[in-house]
Amino acid sequence: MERIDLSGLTKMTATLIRQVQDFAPFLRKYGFRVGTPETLAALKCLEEADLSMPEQLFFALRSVYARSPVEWASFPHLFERHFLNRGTRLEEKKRVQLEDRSGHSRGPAVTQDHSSTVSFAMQPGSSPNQGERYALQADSNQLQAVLAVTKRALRQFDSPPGRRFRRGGRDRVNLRATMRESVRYAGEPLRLRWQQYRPDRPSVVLLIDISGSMKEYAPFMTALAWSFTRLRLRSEVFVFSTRLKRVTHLVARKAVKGITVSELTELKGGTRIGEALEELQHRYGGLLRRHTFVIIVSDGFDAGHPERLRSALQSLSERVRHMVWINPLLGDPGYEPISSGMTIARPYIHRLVDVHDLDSWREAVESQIFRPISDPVTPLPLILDSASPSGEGDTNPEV
Amino acid sequence: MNNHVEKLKKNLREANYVADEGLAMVLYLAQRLGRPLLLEGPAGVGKTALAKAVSAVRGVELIRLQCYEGLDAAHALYDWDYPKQLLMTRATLSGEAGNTAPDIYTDRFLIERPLLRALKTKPAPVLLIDEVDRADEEFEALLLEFLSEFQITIPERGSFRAAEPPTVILTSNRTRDLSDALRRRCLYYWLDYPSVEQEAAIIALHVPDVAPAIARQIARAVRRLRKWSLLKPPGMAETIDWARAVAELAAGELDETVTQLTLGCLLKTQEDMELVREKGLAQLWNA
Repeated sequence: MERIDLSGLTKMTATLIRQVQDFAPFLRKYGFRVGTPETLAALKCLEEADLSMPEQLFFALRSVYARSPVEWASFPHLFERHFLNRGTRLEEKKRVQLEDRSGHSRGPAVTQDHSSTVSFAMQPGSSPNQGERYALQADSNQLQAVLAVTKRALRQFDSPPGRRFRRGGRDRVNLRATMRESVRYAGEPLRLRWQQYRPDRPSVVLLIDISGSMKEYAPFMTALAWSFTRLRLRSEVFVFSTRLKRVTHLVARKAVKGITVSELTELKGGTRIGEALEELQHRYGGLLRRHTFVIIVSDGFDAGHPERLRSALQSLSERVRHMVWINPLLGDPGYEPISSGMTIARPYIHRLVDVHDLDSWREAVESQIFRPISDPVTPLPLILDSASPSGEGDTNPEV
Repeated sequence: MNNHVEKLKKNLREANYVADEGLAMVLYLAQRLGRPLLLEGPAGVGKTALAKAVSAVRGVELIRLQCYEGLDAAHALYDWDYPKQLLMTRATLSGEAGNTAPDIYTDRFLIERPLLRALKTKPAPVLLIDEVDRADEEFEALLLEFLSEFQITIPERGSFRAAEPPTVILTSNRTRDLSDALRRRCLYYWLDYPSVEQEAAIIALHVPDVAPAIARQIARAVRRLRKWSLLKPPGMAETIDWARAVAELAAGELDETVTQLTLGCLLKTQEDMELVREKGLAQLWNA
């Protein structure tokens, strides 16, 4: 538990009630959703707490006002700022005009909403991670729009049968419901009610390449990853460059900010897709089942050994239901997916699609990219990339 | 007032639970204000154990509702004993139970599930609603009336209100976000992994055979493990298991061989075992 210096608080007991009354509006500026009920609860706590022990006031108010780990972590700074007039001044929630990015031809497009405003409530300025550098920062403008599109994709995923489902067996009678129904008919079970099985949630594993060449698309891809965690799916999110890291817990939050650099220290520059996929199968093999959908987000620039990539993709495709490769460069005029990474991958993936912004994501979803194909993958002819001899891999200029 | 918090802290310690001042204060407030306490934090930090300790301290029953996907009112609140109702109906029809129309919606036919039982039990028990994040959102909505009014409405019978509100502790591992409506009704506490000193104190409390120096060494090793990207980072239960195993095997000494032999107490997946072996066991017992 962090310690804050509360000396000086007791001097303000005369104005404490007014300070508590002003605290909720103060917290709202920093994204806390608190109001009069919390103020009333805080005042009740004042009656119970020993004001000669300032820590007690701090602990009591924290339990009343904070409702999530993010708020829990930022509360000490805000408490200190409001009650002691010292401590870090965090950036307030602002409503500002969107930056005009119309000149930006590619990259994550910013969708201008009707109010032309943008909320920075959960961005680093107002968070406990103030000043942190973000390796992946979610584009807060797009979160809800991306989520709406991903929701449409949900229907395309096959739901595996639930735990209680009995394959090949007859449906079972729901005895409780049948008896309840029979009470209406003098205890005669005239209508049988059958047990209804709820299908399990589809499993999705999302792998995002965070090498330098993908930097431009990082905000959109982070929003995309977040949207998968907000739906009725068993989703797992990984990022990779030379290694792989599971980031589900960092992304699956109601108010996602992004992933800070400090949380990805073990990932170095460069892209080794084969090694990352091997690590996925080796360490997280339990996630890869015959109902799992795997989505790889990468431009295919691979600096690893082509044979490792091939064998990793082969074994992965044999284990899972459906593999989709999202390559944000596919929409670029003149781009051909003939780099060694993409060439090796194509025989093992079911769909290769261009997704780089909201519109292209919508198009991809409308083209049913997650609808499993019953036929096995038809291997495409292997096109050897003349620019990258075997064993060397691609040279990614931006890494 | 300070005495109450200190006393609660001391009582919890006697019930084998090490709570810091913040947690003791929030627990005290939850009891005084009659508000439910929502505990969030990683798995295995002692959220469930806290409810057990509170019931031991207060000397009252602990009623536990384990949440899971698909949990509904019939399993959490109440249900009617349909077979008994059916028998009564048939007995009435055949004249064995008299000629008057039977009332089949009485206490005789009511099956009390944990939430209803918590309202009716005296003295007021400790109600643990464990891993509420595993339940569906519909179940959360079901909890709202209970948490704000300590009341359950049964359409056939009316509302039941607790004469003595129970102490309610909800736990969540954050596998999904809980609704704002639920959070607003609770006091909140983020229970994180304990510091090395706290963890060593917990080990000493549960495994008195372990020397203080070894307890600290174990606490440091576990802390280091939690920083590695493990699938299942060890919680407090694993730490205590490990300390017990070390006490059994090593007679007070922790080295690479003992660590190797007892790794199964700490790590629960093959993938994590391999990762730790790759990184080197020496990093643990030298932590």
